[in-house]
Amino acid sequence: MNDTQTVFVVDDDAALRDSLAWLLDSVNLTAEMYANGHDFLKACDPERGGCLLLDVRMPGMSGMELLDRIRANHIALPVIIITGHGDVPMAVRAIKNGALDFLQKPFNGQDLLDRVQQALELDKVNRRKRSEVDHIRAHFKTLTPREQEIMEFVAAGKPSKIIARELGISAKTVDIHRANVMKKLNVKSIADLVQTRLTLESC
Amino acid sequence: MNLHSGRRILALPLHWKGGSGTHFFQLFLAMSSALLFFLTLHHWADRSREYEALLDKENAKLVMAGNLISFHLNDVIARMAVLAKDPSIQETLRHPLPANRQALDLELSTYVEQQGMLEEILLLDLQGHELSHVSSSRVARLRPDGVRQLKGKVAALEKNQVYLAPFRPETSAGAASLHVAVPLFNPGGAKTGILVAVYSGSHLRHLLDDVLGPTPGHVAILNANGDKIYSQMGAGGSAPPAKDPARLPRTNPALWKQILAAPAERIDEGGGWLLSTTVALAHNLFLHGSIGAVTDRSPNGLDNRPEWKILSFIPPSAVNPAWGKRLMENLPLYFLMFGGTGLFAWQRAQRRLEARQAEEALKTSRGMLITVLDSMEASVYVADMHSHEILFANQHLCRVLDKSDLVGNLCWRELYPRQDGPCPNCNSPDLLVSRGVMLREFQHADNGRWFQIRDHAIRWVDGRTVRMEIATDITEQKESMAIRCARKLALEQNSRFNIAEEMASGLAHELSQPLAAASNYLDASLRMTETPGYDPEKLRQGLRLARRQTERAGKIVSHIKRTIRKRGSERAAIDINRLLQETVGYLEYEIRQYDVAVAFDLAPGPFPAVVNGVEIEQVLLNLMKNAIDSMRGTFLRRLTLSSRPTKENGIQVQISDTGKGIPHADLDFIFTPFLTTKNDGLGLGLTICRTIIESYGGRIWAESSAGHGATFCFTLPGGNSHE
Repeated sequence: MNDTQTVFVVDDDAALRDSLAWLLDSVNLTAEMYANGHDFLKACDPERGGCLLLDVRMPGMSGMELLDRIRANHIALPVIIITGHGDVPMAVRAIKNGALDFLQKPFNGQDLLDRVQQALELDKVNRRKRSEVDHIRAHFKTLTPREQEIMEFVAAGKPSKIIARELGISAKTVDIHRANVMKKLNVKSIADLVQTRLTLESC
Repeated sequence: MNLHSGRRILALPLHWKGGSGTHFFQLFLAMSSALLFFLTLHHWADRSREYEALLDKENAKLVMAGNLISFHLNDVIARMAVLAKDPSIQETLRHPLPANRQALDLELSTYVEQQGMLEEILLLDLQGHELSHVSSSRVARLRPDGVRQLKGKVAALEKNQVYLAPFRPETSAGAASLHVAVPLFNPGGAKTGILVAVYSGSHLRHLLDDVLGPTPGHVAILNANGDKIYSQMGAGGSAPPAKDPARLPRTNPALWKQILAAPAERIDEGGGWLLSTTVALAHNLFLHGSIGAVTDRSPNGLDNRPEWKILSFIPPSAVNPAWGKRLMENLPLYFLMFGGTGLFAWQRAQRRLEARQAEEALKTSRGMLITVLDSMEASVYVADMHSHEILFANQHLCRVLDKSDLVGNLCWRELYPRQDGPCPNCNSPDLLVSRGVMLREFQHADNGRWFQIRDHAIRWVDGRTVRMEIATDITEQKESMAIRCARKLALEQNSRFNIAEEMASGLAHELSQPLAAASNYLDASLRMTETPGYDPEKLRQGLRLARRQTERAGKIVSHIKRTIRKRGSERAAIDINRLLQETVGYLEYEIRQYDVAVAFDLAPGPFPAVVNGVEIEQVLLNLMKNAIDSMRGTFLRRLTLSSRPTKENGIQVQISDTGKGIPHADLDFIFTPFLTTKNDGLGLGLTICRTIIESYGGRIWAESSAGHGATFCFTLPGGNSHE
């Protein structure tokens, strides 16, 4: 897994982009600059961690539009909206679309950096969570259809005998499948199994 | 065939119409009739006027004559009563000795001399013997048979009774005379004799002639019933023309009755003697002359006094003998006149009918006019300019004031009952000197309603100039207008705010970019200095980049300024005086609403300045609006606009108000942006004014003392100096 985090900046103003690069560089953050939303979407790799600083008012694709597209493309980067002229409706819309924060230009450099740090932390947590889920999902995929079926029953808290009766198989067979599920999913107890099952469901 | 006959039928009336001779003849007839009618009318009118004047004169004379004769007769009787008590008469009656009779003769002759109208006086004893006989003419009038008759009549008389002898023509040439007989009594109450006075007809006639002038008419003294003639006199004392009252030329028996029945007029005269005189006059135009009658009646039961009637007959020949003759001579002319006037009269009647119809129409239209005026939802009244008397008031006003009629009352007393005189601002005098129409708005103090008052100077039916006032209730219009205006104002305000917001937003975006960038560079540079072993060249570069961004921000600001200023750059030579007048026109509503008087004090001649008219207009509007706003609720509301040349060949415009004024301490700040005293203002108005004026190289300032209004002045360079 790639641990380096990049601060992506999308702003049509070259000077602002450059100055942000300077500012981020001064705290040893890697930054990538994009002049418009299209360029960013083209170059964006969902695997890369970091955060996005997004200007709202841009010619062509606006910041809000880009935000919609990012969500549609399942890019999970935390987004900090930067605007020269913000108002409440815009802020509400940005937050609803999953923006992490909202900054008004001209902003305090420290302020920006603090929020960037927060965003990066968040991204880190998110990524870790996501990798866990991916892991579980990978294990889950190794289960046979019968094993998946048995897992559902077990997670629902049903004893082997009842499962056997419902499926019309012997209780012994149920126990064997059950042992396989536990092994494949790498869980030690029924409680772990239920937890894993919930994690899978939430994604 | 049809076509042909049609043409002929068509031709006929055309031919007849074409006969211009007929027209001429008709015109001639009409004109000659008119002339004849006029002449006749004139002739008759002249004659009848002349005759009436004469009759009036005669009538007046008869009244005087009647009064005079009555007075004289009563006087004679009164004197005789006094005379009867004369001691010499009593002495002679008691002892008819020659010495006594001679003494009495002497005394009586003196008496007759004193009495101008007495001709003879006799003292008779009860047997009819003459004890004394004095005559002014020395010709005895009283004949023995007359004396005998008198004796018999007087013997029957009681004390204080008088016998008036009836008319007795003495001679054919002699004038009539009147005999007045008075019985004489001794202190014991026994009748002792008779005193007889012969009242001369000729004397009476002279008296009448004196009063009436020498007239050829006849005078008669009649009894009250008009059936007995006491004395009758012909012209110049000639023989009477008629002896019998029945033969008197009475023209109209009914009229005669009327004369007799006329109420008596009572005159207290002659030492307690009551006289009443009825004067009546009858006249019959042209043919019979006139009859005048003077009667003396005693309706109060004093039987002892006689009743007379004096008549004067004035035959037509007496009025003007030539008239009758002329009438006959001119008979053909009269016939022509009547014939001519016949046609004319017919036309006149026709015209009169038309006139009556026109009058009817006028009446109808007048009725319609009154109906319209009464149904109007406005109060209309007409009042005299000077006396303020209401000459007309329509129903609406009567209803409003709850009065049935207002005509004849004073306008201010009815309309403003609390006032004790005409309205101090009554515009009647102004109406007379101005164009005759004045318009104003007025709020009634009692009910708070607004009225539009329209005063007109109009010519009244009797020719005088009066004031007509029409008051229309405009409260609703005014309110809706106010609401509309407030809404418009709010919208304007809102759009101004929107524009301002839009501008601020744009400006913020444009400026925030370089400012944010600069801030970032500086932040980065600052951070760099905190790390040990930083690269100074990189730091310098960061600072340079930051500076460049601040420069960029500055450029943006000046660019925006330039862009905005570019919009009002079309300049032309504009007359500032005209601009002032036009701008006031835009504020007509506000000026009327707040009842502001606008005065111009403009320097003569056009004042051209090379400016953008819209910009200067904006400045003027701003300053005028401020002025009007500041005068809301102040007692005096006068906006004075003046212009004058400056020493530098420029123009100075001055806008003065009588509003609340500006405190001295605030004078320095009023042009500062975003400072406002208004709740809904942006505080940019005066700032914009200053920017505009200064962009032309002019100057703007304010002078004020709190409570005494404010004056805003600005100067603009003259037309030649600014190309």
